Amino acid sequence: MTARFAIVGSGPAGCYLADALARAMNGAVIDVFERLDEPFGLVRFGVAPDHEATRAIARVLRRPFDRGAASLHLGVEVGRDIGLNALRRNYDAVALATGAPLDRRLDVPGEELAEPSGRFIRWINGHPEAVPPARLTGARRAVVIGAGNVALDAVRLLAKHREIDCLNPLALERIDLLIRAGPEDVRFSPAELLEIGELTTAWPDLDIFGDATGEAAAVLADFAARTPGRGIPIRFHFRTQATAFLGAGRLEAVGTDRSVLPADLAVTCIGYEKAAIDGVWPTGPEPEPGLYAVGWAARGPTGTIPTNRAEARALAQRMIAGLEP
Amino acid sequence: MQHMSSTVIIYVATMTGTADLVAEEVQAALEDEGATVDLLPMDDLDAGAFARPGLYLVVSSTYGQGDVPDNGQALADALESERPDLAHVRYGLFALGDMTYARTFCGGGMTFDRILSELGAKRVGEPMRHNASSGVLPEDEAADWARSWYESAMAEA
Repeated sequence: MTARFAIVGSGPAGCYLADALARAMNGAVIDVFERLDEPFGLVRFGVAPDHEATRAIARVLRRPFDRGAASLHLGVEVGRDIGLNALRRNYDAVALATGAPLDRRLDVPGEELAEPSGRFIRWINGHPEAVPPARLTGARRAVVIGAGNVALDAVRLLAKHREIDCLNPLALERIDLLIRAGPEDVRFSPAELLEIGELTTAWPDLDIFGDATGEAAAVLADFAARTPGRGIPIRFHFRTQATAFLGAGRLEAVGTDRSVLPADLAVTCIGYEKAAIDGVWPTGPEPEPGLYAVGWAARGPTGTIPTNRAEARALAQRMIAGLEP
Repeated sequence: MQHMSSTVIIYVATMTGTADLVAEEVQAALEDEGATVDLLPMDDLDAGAFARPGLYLVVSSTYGQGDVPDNGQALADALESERPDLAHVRYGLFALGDMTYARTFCGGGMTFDRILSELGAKRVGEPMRHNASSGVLPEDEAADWARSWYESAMAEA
């Protein structure tokens, strides 16, 4: 009997799983269902447009389909076009690779005036359901909130707004980055921080701080030691929390626990959450017997693209071992 | 024209699968040249991986701060700690890196180059060091490079 596998979602986790199943089990039927008309999920719509080397991973993801080892079904939404139970009846095993598509919220007053990072980056990447920010043209001050690489993506893209078509109407003069953590606790990768230091249109503006250790802190210390640069100052506010988004109908300022910062645009980069798929919350590698999950759908929004590859290879073994004899 | 046939063993260390693409292109090119090619991910290899005399190709990306990819770490550690004599080994190196991080450029592949040469293995040709920021995809350079590398290896043999 030919084994039949269905994978819901064609982001990195889903594609890596398709590839791993195909390699581990010659001749298996592997169907990948993608809600959108374009595949590759986060690699297509979540990775910043200027991170070309990371976006180029799409050609690795497409490989099982190019080889004919798996089939990609675009524009098929599980829960709308086909039920999860129907899928489970029609396949020996089903894996949810649906990621963490929802933006986490700060839960502070006026949050509807801010742009959540997922929505913001999807819009920049031309997602078909993209919602443009309320106010772009002539915006002079932007506030970015977050202590991870997505916040640095947002800062960097805003700093390079002249080079990015959809951001071109901005007229930014200043970017404030609000970081709840201290410099010792940031989750920025040193590589992403270095990119901020290499911008020609903006410069990192931060004060000397204590004796934080670690590679990211070392880059920050180097920034602090620099003389003011040219272009847009990117002001790093450590140990600062956003407490409210202020404005009547449109954003005018961001309140923090220290001050009020005038702002025409605010982007919250505080993480993502999973969504239920046809009533089932994906969690862990096997949410229900015979129903599997991989990638962010399984472990939550942590780890990098390669994490998904390693996890997908392990899950493929588990799915094959779980087939009924 | 008659080709001398040879076996090439390709070991791949990868995080995203990009080095796999390179290795598959190399495999196809070398098979066209008449070689017999074994392509293996490094995952389950130990210090005996290079026990067989012959021609090897290491394809390795770079991760983190110039590190060997996770699936090649155990092999690198085993070679470093057990230090087998590899005087019977000839090898080539296709390293992937990104000059955006110049200090650690191709660090993963170059780690294998250092270990193999320390253990007495002889490298054929210069290491191929692909730059992800060059605008050229590594798999597009792989076939041409592999053919000329294989030619050098056959000429030296």
